Amino acid sequence: MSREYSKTGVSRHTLIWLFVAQGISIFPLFFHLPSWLPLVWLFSMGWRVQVYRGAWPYPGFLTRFVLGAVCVTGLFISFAGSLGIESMVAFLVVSFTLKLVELRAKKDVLLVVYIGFIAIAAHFLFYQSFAITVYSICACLLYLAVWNTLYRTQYLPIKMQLLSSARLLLQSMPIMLILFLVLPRLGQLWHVPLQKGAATTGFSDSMSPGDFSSLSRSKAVAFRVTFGAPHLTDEARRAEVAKIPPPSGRYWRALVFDDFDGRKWRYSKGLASHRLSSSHVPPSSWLFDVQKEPDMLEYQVLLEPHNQRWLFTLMAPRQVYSQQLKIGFADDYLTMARDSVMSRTQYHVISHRNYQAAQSGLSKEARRRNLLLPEHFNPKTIALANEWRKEVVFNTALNDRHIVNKALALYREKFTYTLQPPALGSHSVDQFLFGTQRGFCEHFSASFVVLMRAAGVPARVVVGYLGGELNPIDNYLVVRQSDAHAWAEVWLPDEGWRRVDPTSAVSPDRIELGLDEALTDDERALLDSAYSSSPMMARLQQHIEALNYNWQRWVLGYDTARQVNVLERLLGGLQAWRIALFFIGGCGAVIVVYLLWLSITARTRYSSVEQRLYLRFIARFKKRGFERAPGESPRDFAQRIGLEHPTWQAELSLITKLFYAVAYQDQVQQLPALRRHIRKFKW
Amino acid sequence: MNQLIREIIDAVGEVLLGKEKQVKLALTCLFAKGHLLIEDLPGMGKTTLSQCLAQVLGLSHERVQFTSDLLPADILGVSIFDRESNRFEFHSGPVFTQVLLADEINRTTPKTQSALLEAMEERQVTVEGETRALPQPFFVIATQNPLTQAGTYPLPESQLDRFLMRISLGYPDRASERQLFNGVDPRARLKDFKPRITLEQLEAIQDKVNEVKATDQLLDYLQRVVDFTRADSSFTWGLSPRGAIALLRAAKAWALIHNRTHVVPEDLQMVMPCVVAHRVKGAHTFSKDVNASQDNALVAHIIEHVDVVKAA
Repeated sequence: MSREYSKTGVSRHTLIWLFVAQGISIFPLFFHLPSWLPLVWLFSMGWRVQVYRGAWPYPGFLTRFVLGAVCVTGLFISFAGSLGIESMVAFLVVSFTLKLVELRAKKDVLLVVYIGFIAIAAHFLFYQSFAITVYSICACLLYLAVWNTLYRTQYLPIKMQLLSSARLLLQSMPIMLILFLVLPRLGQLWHVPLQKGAATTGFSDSMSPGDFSSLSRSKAVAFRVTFGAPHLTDEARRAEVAKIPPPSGRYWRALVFDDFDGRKWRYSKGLASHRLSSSHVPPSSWLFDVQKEPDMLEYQVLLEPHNQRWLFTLMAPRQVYSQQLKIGFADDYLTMARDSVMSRTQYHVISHRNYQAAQSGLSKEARRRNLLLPEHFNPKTIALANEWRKEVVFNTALNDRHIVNKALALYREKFTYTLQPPALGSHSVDQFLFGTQRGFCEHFSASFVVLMRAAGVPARVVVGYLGGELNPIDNYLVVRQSDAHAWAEVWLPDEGWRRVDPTSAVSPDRIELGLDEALTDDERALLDSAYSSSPMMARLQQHIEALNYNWQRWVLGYDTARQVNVLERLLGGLQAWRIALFFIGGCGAVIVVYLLWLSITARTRYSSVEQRLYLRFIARFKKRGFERAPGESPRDFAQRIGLEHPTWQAELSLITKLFYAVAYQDQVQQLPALRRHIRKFKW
Repeated sequence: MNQLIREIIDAVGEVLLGKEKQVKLALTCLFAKGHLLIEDLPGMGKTTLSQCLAQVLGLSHERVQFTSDLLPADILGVSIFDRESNRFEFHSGPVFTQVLLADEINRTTPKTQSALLEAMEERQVTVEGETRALPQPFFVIATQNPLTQAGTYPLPESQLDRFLMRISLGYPDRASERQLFNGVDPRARLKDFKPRITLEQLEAIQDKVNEVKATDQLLDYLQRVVDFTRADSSFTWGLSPRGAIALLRAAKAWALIHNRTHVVPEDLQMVMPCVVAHRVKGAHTFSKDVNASQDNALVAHIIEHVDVVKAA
């Protein structure tokens, strides 16, 4: 088998541009793929460089086969044989990088460029921020540059090459916008569930001591909320801001824990098989008893994937709806999705702020469940609760509310709110209530519920998020992992389920102002700060956060509903002919504008930049009576003018020399100098 | 290499006084692997230049005086029956050399002129059905008298086209002529004229011509020139593609002689009279001066009207 060495099929510039473009486009993917993939890339690049230098031949069939087989085996081992998005992307990257070694001719480079665009699209499987979009556009620029170098006979300096690619990209922008608006939305690429995804964020389906204090250190965004109906004008949106509940009213419910085994809290009904109501309104068993004037609160939640089924709503949800997921109501005023939320999802909720759960709502079975305590645990607590119970029993003027207040008073008196609570033993509630008395929301809520149950008041732990920070730029709430919170609900005979937050008794600041304010300076240092301490930086970060959110909502979240809305507003209707007219008219207009521009500039069509610069320069001589004869070469012209007008001589001959360098010597790098000297020419 | 080229120019210049430009043009032609036609009145130094070029390049050379009774066989060679070996044996003619000096080529009949045709273009000759390659390199340096002189046969267009360049020497300037009067005999120097260049060096220079760059801008100009000769009403016929390629090649060699790695428009303008003039035909009389070459006026017309920088 004869070995094939590189001929001059692919130029050095094309290769260099290609290497850079490839590196930039697959770099973000490396973080999600097996760690040996960069080595494959470096190896391929190294081989191709050797081929270019003529040191090594192109790999033969056998070598290529072995390379491919080794890499595929590697992928198989790395992914343990499972087929998913990651393994597919990894396969793409492997074949994409290995293609380098058999880059022989123009058509191979074109192929790599095309695959490159697909690799760029693959970014969006793993990242969806605005920043990655900008990054991807830059990568596109580089590929366009590679494409460009293939067809260029002369080498352009880097800056000019990039500018020329940017011009191409800009020219394609109007068409892209039209296609974006009109093309049917077939679901989004990034809604393909990933294998790893978001397994680590948020709380889990059980609560044990320490869970929340570790969560509080994360500033990752859990979800963002915009208040008001989905498609509001800016003005109406601003009016909605006034309706946003105060921080103490923003209890985002996710899950209730009503099963306690002495250490862990769980949801007794489990999550895996939880049945959903099929309609968008709650089941009749929920027995709402809304006050006379229902105070509706409408909002959209943009939820980061948390790999769980539960959703976050304010009490009491009356309607939930999502276009991307099948969601509905579960028991205990919970809202859930049919499947785990694996990708960023937006849903729409209407809640009643003034609600009252039906008084007859607690079934016997539910009552029993919400009073259950593990036996032989926490004897001191039970003793204390029994005392309180006795007070109520002996004094008919008192009711369960009295017990609740007693407990809250206890917390207010002696307890401290801290992120670093001491460890607790097996009688954790006893130890906490009578010993350490330092804790975090989970300690307060858990011990409170145990107290209530021991005193015969049905109670349960509720987890979710509390608060959220208003982004002043675009007036939406950002709820972070650090806002995770646990509180309690008690059943009062006259009122139904009522929210009681023992943490508010200990640290009102936590409720009113948020976690940061509730902590001492020392403890605050434990937290990652979401925003910089300098006000200017904080403002900038808020702007970036707002940009990202709007990007998610308007571009990534541009779904069928939104498309219908936009097209209706834009075209005044959704008939096929309108859309067709818009599509053809829009694209046609772009082409017409382009043709017009061409015909206008056609009269002074120049084959190159330096020619345009020089001829415009020479035209100014003509105005002063020095005309260049057609057959007079620039050098002859410069000589003649130099003799007639000695003050111009030096500069004119320099400009002519630069023009010659660019036009006839391919020294494009002199172009800026030519431009500069022409601009500075003294008449 | 430039040092070498300079030396050659100087050496030839010592023999042919005051004609540096013509010497450069002649060398341009040879470096571009083209055949050279020197046209001038008798006694202007045509033969001296051609001999001098052959010697300075260190190539084997044969001189043939073309006369009206010269036959093709006199140039190409004949097969003669050898009685001892009892078969025909080919006796090669003067064309089997590296430089063929064809003196007064337009004095011979078209039949003989065209015998040179195959040799010049294909660098091989076919005699009696057998094709024989000529040595490498192979140049024809031909001289001719202006056609206004009596007893000449004008070269056919097809053969003129085979010459890359046609140059004329012109009268010497006063100082150079005075030197001649003072008894300097350039021909005497020719006798002990040593080659200044080896065959390898010559080939290296010829290869270097190929490496001279012509940018798109320059090619645009070249195409404007070519298009002009084809479209303008002053021409009966314009420049052929071979003529256009010849023009570019000559310009590249000219640029190389001037120590440049790229062609500039002046190079094209400089070689244009020598390359283009004998390949195009004017539709009418250009110069009022009857003695001046009409062809050269035609080239001046081209240079004057084709814009160097921009498209019309």
